[in-house]
Amino acid sequence: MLIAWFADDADLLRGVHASRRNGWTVHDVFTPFAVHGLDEALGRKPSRLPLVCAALAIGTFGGMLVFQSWTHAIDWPLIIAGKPPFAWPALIPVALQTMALVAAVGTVLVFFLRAGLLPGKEPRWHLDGVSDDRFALVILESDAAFDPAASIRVLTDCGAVRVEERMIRERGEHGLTDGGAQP
Amino acid sequence: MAEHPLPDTPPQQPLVADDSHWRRQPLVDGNITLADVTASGCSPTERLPGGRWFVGFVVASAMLALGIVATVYTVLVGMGVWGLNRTVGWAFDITNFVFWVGIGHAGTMISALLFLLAAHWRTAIGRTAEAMTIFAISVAAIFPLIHMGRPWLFYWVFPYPNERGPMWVNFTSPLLWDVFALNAYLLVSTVFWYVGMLPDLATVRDRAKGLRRRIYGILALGWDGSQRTWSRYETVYLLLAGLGTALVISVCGIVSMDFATSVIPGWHATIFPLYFLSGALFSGFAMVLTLLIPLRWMLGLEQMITKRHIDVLCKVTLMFGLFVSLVYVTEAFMCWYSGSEYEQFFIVNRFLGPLAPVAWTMICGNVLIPQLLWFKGVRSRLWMVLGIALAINVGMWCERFVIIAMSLHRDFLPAAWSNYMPSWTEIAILIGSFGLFFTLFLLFVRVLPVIAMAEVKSVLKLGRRQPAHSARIKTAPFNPDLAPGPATPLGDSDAAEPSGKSNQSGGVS
Repeated sequence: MLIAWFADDADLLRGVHASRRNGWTVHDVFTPFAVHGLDEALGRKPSRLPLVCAALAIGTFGGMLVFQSWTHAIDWPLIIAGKPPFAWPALIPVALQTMALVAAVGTVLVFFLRAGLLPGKEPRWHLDGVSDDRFALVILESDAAFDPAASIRVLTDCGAVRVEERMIRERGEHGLTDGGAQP
Repeated sequence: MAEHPLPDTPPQQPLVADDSHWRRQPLVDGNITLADVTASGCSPTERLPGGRWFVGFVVASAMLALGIVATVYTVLVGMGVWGLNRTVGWAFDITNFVFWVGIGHAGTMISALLFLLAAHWRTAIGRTAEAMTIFAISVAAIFPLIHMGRPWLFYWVFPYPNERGPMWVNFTSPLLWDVFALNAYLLVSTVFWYVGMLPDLATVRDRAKGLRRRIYGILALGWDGSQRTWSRYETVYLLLAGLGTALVISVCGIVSMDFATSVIPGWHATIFPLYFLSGALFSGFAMVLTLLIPLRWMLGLEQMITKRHIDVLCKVTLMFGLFVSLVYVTEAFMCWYSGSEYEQFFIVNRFLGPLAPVAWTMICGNVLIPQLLWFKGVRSRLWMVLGIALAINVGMWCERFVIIAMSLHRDFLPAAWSNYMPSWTEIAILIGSFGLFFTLFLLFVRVLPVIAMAEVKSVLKLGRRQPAHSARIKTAPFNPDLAPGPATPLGDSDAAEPSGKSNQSGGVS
């Protein structure tokens, strides 16, 4: 595959557009910060994590209301401050707080699982500088018609500061890798 | 160099001669690059801490040790070592609790609410503010624990099937709402802080070697900067910011309900949730100023935590100070307007009774001294700002004491009136709470990246001309859908690296 390093996010976007217009397969882009416009440039759909968050929130809120009502009205009814056993306004704060907690922690755990972020994992690619000040565009040389020399020229004209060809070493469970970062 | 538009490059944005509608001050001083942001953010974790850090750490640890001794003494001997009596059942313990919870709220407001409002100036200070929240809430959580008569039975507050009935907790009590609110707020804030830190932990990891690299590698979870991950990360960050903001408002309201749901004058007022929220944000912003001004000096971060940041923080602090002053006036007005002799006595006793010096300290620190922040000359002198912030911290602590202990000590029945004097143990625990907070904060400064490097890098270009390597003014994000303009030459003689080379190997150019 072809890896092009850029020193500026605008140049990176230019390179991504050039890649797509030429019909190249962009495997991924690695950046030191989230570049706005990159999702649209790559044609990627937005994440469905908000749905996960909403589902967890609604489920937890309802579940906590039911649980509290059961303890107060059915399992061990007490007359507290003259309130009726099913005093639902007073049950809302606990339900809200638990909802926020479960929605937040649950969404983050789902994010970690989907993105393959686990303690002790090393980055899948050895790319210098992408956590510092460089933006890397990784293009798969997916068919015989791919002309590396011409591609390198185009990317350099877009502002690439370095272009490199690399072999794919293995296919990890989260996609391609070149063997990963060296410790 | 291309002399005509390349067919496969997108239309170029025309050179913008007049960018005044985008003009704003740069958020970072100096002509610094992305690599400079990395170096500034990582170097405090990579070099041995300087003398300034050590002095602060030793002082904070000493205060913490004093607090630990006093706390252990309280738990072993009993609550009688405190100055509480039957009338004043809550004093220093709950004052400290509400004080520290309040401080935590401003941190989440800076990192979450200002993120939702797209206030880019928060990027340099958001991480520090969120850390302040986590440490403040951790300190606050200790007080409900040690103010229990039998703190070793603390787990009874959680609703779990048990052999006592099963006896369930009282979900309708604000004291229990506190348990859920504090736990939720602490855990959500920690998760928000940690997730926000993942890209920066990866940056520190990539610069580290040996054992440090392994430790930061475990914490960074294999972050590689992939766009797919960034996209999900931004979504999660947005969701967490929304949940965090909702928690700020609800937790503050719940803590105020500890008092508002009672009957005594001075507590039973509908303004309490707003009172506590504005007070929390006011004291929290003052604590942010108290932390940031020494921090930027200690770590040499003046280019990133700029005077402009301090200026904006001062203005926000002043705004919340005006809210708090308005609440005081409203409270006093409602006491008179209610026609209730108990309410009217309460407000008179606050300012003329035996504990009145505390109330007057509150007025000085919260109403009078912050008015100095109207003046630009004051806001630009950081030692003055630090002094005002410390005065606000003292004033806000006094406000909590005034609300809690002064409302208790003289309520409906004059035969039950009593005075209150703190014991040495309570004062030591208060000092210890500051010790714990500053110890945790100094450890954070040493071990974790203090600046949100990825966020600062993303706003680095705002308000400034493009750095040297391509001579274009970029004031707006690249938009390929704009009408095509003349192609501008790429990579002119300012370019640091030669173009046209292929298959380069070796180090990063």
